Amino acid sequence: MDNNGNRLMPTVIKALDHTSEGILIITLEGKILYYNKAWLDIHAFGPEDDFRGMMLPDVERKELGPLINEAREAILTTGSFTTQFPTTRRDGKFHVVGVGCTLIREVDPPLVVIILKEVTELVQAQEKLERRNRELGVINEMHAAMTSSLSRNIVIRRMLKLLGDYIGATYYAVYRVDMRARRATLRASIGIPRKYLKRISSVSLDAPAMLHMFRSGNICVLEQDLPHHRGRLDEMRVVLNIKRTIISASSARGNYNYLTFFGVTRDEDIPADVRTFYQTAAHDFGIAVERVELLDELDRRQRELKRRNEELALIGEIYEIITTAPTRKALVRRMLETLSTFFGAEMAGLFEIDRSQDLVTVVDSLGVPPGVRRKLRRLPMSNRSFAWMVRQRGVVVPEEDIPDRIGDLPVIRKELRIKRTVACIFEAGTGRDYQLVLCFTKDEDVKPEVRLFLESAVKRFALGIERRELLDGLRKSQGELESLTMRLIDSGESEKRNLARILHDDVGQLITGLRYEIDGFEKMLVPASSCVRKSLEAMRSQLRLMSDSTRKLSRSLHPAMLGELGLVPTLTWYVDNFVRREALEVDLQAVGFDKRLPHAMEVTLYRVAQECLTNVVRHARASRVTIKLTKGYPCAIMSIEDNGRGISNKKRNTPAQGLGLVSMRERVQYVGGRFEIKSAPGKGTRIRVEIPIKGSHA
Amino acid sequence: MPEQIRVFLVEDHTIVREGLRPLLEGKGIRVIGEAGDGLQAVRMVRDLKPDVVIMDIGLPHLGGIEAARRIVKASPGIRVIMLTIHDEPPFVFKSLEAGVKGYLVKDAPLDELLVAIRAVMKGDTYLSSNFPRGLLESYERMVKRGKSVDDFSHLTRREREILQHIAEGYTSPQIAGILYISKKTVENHRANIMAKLNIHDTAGLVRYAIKIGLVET
Repeated sequence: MDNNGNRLMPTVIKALDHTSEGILIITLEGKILYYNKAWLDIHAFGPEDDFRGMMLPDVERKELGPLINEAREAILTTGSFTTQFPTTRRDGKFHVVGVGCTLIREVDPPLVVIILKEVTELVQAQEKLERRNRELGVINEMHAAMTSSLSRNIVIRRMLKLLGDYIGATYYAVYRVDMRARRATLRASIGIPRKYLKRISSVSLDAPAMLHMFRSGNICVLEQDLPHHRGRLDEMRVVLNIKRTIISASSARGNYNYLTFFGVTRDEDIPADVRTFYQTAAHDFGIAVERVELLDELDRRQRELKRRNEELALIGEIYEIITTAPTRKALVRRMLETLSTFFGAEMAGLFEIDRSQDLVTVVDSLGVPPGVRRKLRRLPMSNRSFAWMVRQRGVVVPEEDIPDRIGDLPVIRKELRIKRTVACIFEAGTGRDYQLVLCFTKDEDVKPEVRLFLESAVKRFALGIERRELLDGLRKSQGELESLTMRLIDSGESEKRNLARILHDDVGQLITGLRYEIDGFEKMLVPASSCVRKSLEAMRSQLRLMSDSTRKLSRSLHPAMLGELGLVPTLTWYVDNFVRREALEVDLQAVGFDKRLPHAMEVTLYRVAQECLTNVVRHARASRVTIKLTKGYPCAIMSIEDNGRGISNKKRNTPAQGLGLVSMRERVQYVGGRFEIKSAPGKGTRIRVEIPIKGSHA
Repeated sequence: MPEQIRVFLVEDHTIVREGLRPLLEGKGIRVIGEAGDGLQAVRMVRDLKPDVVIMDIGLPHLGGIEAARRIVKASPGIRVIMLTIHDEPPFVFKSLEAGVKGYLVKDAPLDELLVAIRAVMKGDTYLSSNFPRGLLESYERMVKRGKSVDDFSHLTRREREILQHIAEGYTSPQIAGILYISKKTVENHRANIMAKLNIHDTAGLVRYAIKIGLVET
């Protein structure tokens, strides 16, 4: 029987040899007599596997599967018919095979020839198509997520999920890698229990498991291949029953490196084409994440820019306040308004700290009800919560952190529902300490950069207060100086007027009275002797001289004419006399004087004109002066112009010239007017005085 | 006996008044009253109707020149003689302008006062012999030469203000905005100014304003 079978075998084998089908020849009992290479290939056996002479049950052990058994059973039950099984089935790793069976009874013992035909291509193609479709779907969705306007974190999570779903992962995580620090920081995760998240939020790239994963070609790491489990990640993998870790690193444009981890709990290998697709998808994922990160960065920069712009605007506003606030009070008020608006504080206050008196007094406050404001007016420095805030220096204080909740302040804060307090201490002015307090009723923290900026704003505040105080001091002393000068001018003028009046009224009239007495006396001596008459005549002429010089003195001190006749006739008279004395041509014209000006203004204009003419003769070497007097409205205007050699700026400040100019200017300012001088060497000098006229004199 | 000349004395210094009075009394002159200030003088003269008022210039409350102006205006028949310490021609001219008939400086011999009183009673104008000859003539020439009042004085306060703005280069709407009045009002004022000054274009107004020193070139 053996011989017969063996004899026939080469014939059978030769007949079947041209096929690419897998041929297996067994006896009815199931003993394997022959198989060809194709058969081995279909079953993915290697050439080293030798099944000849083995029984089928033994082969089964080698995972040949129940398929052949089934075929044999079918042959045996259907007798001598040749039957074909055009079935395909999936059976473990043996994908799909077509089986045809033939019973050869002509030989003894009869043989079962099993023909395995690989019909897997179609099925595989179908599967491939399905997979490609899925891959395409993943790519599409990833692309959609990537370009969507969803928030950055959601985009990353969605893409992570797509990728993880594709490879059938249970746990998903993406890390950002800092190669310089050799650390990876968790960016997003899915499925990992919360309690592990904190532990794995930052991992070292030099952890043994991590190094191993890198070395393994970045694809799929079998859990049992990883080195000893010691790190936090390792412990987690055990607890979460992770069997495989799919890892990929992507560095899109060099700036950022990302690591994605997918933990798979199924203990099953991942098909080659899935891996291939995963690799490309992971690369895309890296790019997408980087794009998202860059957008984030851009967004952050933009926010930063916006904030900087706002800060800049605030600085501008503060600068404007500092330079334009007319008083310290206005400065403080406007600063408080601006700062509280900018930082969103509901209440704001500025306190002055007097350490020597252990006292804090409020300078100004905003948004604080009047009743509370009264309580805040004076506080002892030793109040512990206050002192604590002082120590915190520019820190935002959550209400519950403030110690010693006894005393006025905590009660007040509670009353006002204050949740956060910013207290900035700064020094300003002459060594005085101030505290700026901003209070927030919203229970949310103030951003750190805002705190920083607050400090710089407060520094400017301090500068502003200091500047204001210096200016106030300066203005005060300037004001004192001015009023002193005014009093000097005024007292000089009234002194002169007094003297002139005494000379004119008292002395002058006494002389006149005396003269009339002499006249009366002479009439009593009738007839008077010639020698008496001569003596009386001498007395009279001496009295006349006395009267003359008294009048001259009086007039030079204060022209009575100015009071009696007004500015225009007096000035005309003065100019007439002046040109008679000096080699100078003076053109005086006056218009609009239908009414007199107030006496003080007349005196001022008269004195300025006098001083100018004197200056012209003394310094200008001019040949001609034009004086124009105009009583306009709302100002009386006097302009005096000469054609002399002019005054240089240097000369204008020499004491001789300077004093005259200064006193003219001060006289004019004293009556509320404006004094202007324009001059250049060789171009003559022009003086212009404008004095506002009030009320009935206009 | 010819009727006595009734004289009223206005002088704030008692010593002068008392020196004068005996010198005038007699010689056909009777001093019918005295006053120490301008206001009192105007009141009393209105009641007493003297022939001649002898008036000082420097007086309290109301100056002598203004008091003389009021007296002459109220009763043109009353002759006022200024007797004053001021010898500058402007005083003389202003006094004459006010309607005064005589002007004497206190330095002059007293007899001159009597001469002056008689002169004005005859209807003459008498000036102190101290004054240079021709003073009266030069005053008359000045009066004849014309207006002591300039065109600009005819402008109202508002018109002066608007002329100033025109000269400073503002347009009518701008001036209206500055002064819170309507453009139409500004235009009306502008027309009035032009009529009063006899100038008929803006450039002319500006030239005029520069000429009188309202604005600078």
